[in-house]
Amino acid sequence: MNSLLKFILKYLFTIVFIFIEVICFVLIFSGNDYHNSKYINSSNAFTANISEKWTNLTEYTKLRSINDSLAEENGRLKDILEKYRRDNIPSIEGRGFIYSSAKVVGATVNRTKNFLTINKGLSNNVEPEMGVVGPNGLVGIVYASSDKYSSVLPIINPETKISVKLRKNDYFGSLSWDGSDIRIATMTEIPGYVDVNHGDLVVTSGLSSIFPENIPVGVVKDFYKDSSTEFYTIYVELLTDFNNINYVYIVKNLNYHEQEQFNYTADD
Amino acid sequence: MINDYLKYILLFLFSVLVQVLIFDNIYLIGYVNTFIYLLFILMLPIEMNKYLVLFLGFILGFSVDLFNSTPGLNASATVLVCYLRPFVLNVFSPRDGYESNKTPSVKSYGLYWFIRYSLVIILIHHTFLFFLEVFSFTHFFYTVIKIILSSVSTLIFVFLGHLLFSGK
Repeated sequence: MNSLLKFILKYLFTIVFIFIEVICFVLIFSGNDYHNSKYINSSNAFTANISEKWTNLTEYTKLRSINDSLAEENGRLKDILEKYRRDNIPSIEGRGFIYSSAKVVGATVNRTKNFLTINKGLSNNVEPEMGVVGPNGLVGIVYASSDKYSSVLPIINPETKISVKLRKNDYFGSLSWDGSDIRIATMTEIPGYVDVNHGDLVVTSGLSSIFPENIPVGVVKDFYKDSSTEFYTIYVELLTDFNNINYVYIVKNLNYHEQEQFNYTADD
Repeated sequence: MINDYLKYILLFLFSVLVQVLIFDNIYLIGYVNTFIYLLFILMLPIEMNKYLVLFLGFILGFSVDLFNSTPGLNASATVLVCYLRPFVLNVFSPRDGYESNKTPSVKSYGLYWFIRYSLVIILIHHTFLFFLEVFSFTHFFYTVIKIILSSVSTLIFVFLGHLLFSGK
């Protein structure tokens, strides 16, 4: 007993250190679980509040570029609206998705596992698993929500997988990010016989119940064919500039639960 | 005495906030991550209770994790360097030992000493954190280059931050 006590006293510093490291690793591995990490994330009121105050303070320096990007987007939307009006398409009654705006109050962009924090949460009817899009294209998926804030899993996080397709020929693939360059994501699962060119537009597939179809994601920058699998690996230049992201829209699928239920029963 | 506490509380807030509000929001090239928050650990008094340093390291890393949605990641790397700090200080101790009441700074022990001491701590921290972050050795060389370039960047900013806080 005496010698055990001596041992503990001798290595107490190391034992305390190992104890704290074990706590850290439990946090890391419980945080890796997509559905389990509701509590320790950037949507908590304390840190999100600090981030928001800082964003409000520094936003003034970026107002010109924010204005430009919003005006440009307005122009694009008016164009589309005009096209619908000309084609005399009746108002879309049973619409499936609604959009609401949010401000990005915090972001990490140069880690491997990046996250964004937005200033809308449960009290604004924003919940995990909703889509997030920016003025130029897809941003990510809501990951966790507190009352007033949400944490967003952006494309630039290796855990994000988005179902996408080539706009011109509707071939489906999967988009993910390898952890290096925040401008480039990788599209896989496109078979080798498909016609792929530089500059082809990549959009959401509409296969998941999170995003509507045809939301722009990026353009084909480079591609090669894997000789053993006969599938393409396509490098997609993302349309969203994560280094300069200020306002986003949250996409809510009004039929999300029905569709998920359906997928669930279909899986059985 | 009170002044000292105030100084370290300020240094803590400065390290965390500059990290999460500025450095984590700036993307230079994919290779460079700057971990300015190590400034706090590096500047703690040499003879400070090592258990307290360990505890403060956990709080520091965990605070950054809270902002970044990466629970445990920065905390574990920071706790590791806090654990190793007494050994590193020992290796670089001057021939006649450290004087009491001195902080690890250029003014106390010279530029060369400060750079060596900081660089070892930074390298350990970055190596541990980057490999933990990717959790594989598949991008081995990419990760190694990232460690080296990020360490240089962190060292530069830690040095500048140290000048700011050791003025008094």
